[in-house]
Amino acid sequence: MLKLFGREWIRKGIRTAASTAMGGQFRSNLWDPVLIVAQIIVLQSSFYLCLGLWIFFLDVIGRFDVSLDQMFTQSDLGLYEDSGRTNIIAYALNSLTCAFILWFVVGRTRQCLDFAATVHIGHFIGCIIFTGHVPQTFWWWMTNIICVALMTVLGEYLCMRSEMKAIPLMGQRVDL
Amino acid sequence: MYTLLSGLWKYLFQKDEFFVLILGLDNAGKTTYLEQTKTKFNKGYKGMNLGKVTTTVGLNIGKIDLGKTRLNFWDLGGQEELQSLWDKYYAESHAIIYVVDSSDRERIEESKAAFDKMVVNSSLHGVPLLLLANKQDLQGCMSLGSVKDVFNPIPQVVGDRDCSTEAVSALRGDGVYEGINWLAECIKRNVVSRPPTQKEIT
Ligand SMILES: Nc1nc2c(ncn2[C@@H]2O[C@H](COP(=O)(O)OP(=O)(O)OP(=O)(O)O)[C@@H](O)[C@H]2O)c(=O)[nH]1
Ligand SMILES: [Mg+2]
Repeated sequence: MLKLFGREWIRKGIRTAASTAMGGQFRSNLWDPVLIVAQIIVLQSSFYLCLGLWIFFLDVIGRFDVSLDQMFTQSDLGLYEDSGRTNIIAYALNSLTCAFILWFVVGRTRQCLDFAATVHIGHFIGCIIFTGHVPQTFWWWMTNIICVALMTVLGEYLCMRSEMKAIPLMGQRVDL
Repeated sequence: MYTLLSGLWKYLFQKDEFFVLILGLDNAGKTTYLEQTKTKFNKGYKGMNLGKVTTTVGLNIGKIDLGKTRLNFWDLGGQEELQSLWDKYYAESHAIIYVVDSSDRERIEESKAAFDKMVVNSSLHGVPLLLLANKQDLQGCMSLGSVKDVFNPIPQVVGDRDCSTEAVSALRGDGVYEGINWLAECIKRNVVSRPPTQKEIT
């Protein structure tokens, strides 16, 4: 699915503002507000896109009714009903998917926690707008905190792996 | 979001950074003057014992904050062999303080020669210049007037820059405030041609 999503396209679109790490160049560490805002928007949209897809997918499998409430309403999260459980699973799978998107879009170990938390703060605000009040149930908070943790840890792992790769000094491979 | 906001914070509250070169022959009192400046402008800075200042090899740095302006000083060694390093700093400096030992009549011509070489350098075009006749506390030193007479620089070089001379005593701290404040004003006037050095926000 991610392949379909166009990995290269995302890379190009988001990263051209900063100099790219690809092709042997060092990426700049400079503060680039446009880049950061673009990254936040891309992550937020993909968060909802993937969450929607996962919920839809699990709803089809489990034969539950598909509704927007599942995304934004706290009462649809919980361990005591089948639908609540599948929702939590959808959230968990979503944060793993988003970790990959984090890796493509941000690619910085240092910024994973930042962006994972930002996406969930965005979601928190989304929930307030949708329901009109602050989420209060234990399971809403539990799910979201665990999702932040999952997304951060997997994202950091992925980013770390690519950051640890040897840096090609000449731009191309040198045959000795 | 944290990266975004912390960067914004730094962007809004960073100071304008300027670099000031302190030049002059060895033993003129440059390091003493820098120490005195730091003591006077940085509250809570316990200056080092001014009697313990030894000759500079390399450079001393110091910084002071005047509101939103930050002045970074580079105090270079003035010995003859070290003078060849001065011009490496010219392109990045926003102002020059030239210190003359007015008690040393024998070396005043040497000082003038070094000054002339410095002032005609094209990298320093338009940079404000403060000439200090130092060691005014000593008996029998040259007055500000006679130092001016010796240095009276070539008009076309000075014409397009802010330039001032001042009698000071680095050891006692006389005249430090006035000189630095004057220089800060000139630097701010000159920002169009020499904008502050932007610190990179990461
Ligand atoms: N009486 C008197 N002595 C001074 C004054 N300023 C500096 N001195 C003395 O002059 C000597 C040399 O001062 P420095 O500050 O080390 O001179 P410098 O210009 O930094 O010399 P270099 O680092 O070799 O280039 C020291 O012994 C100071 O105490 C002053 O205003 N009055
Ligand atoms: Mg010195």
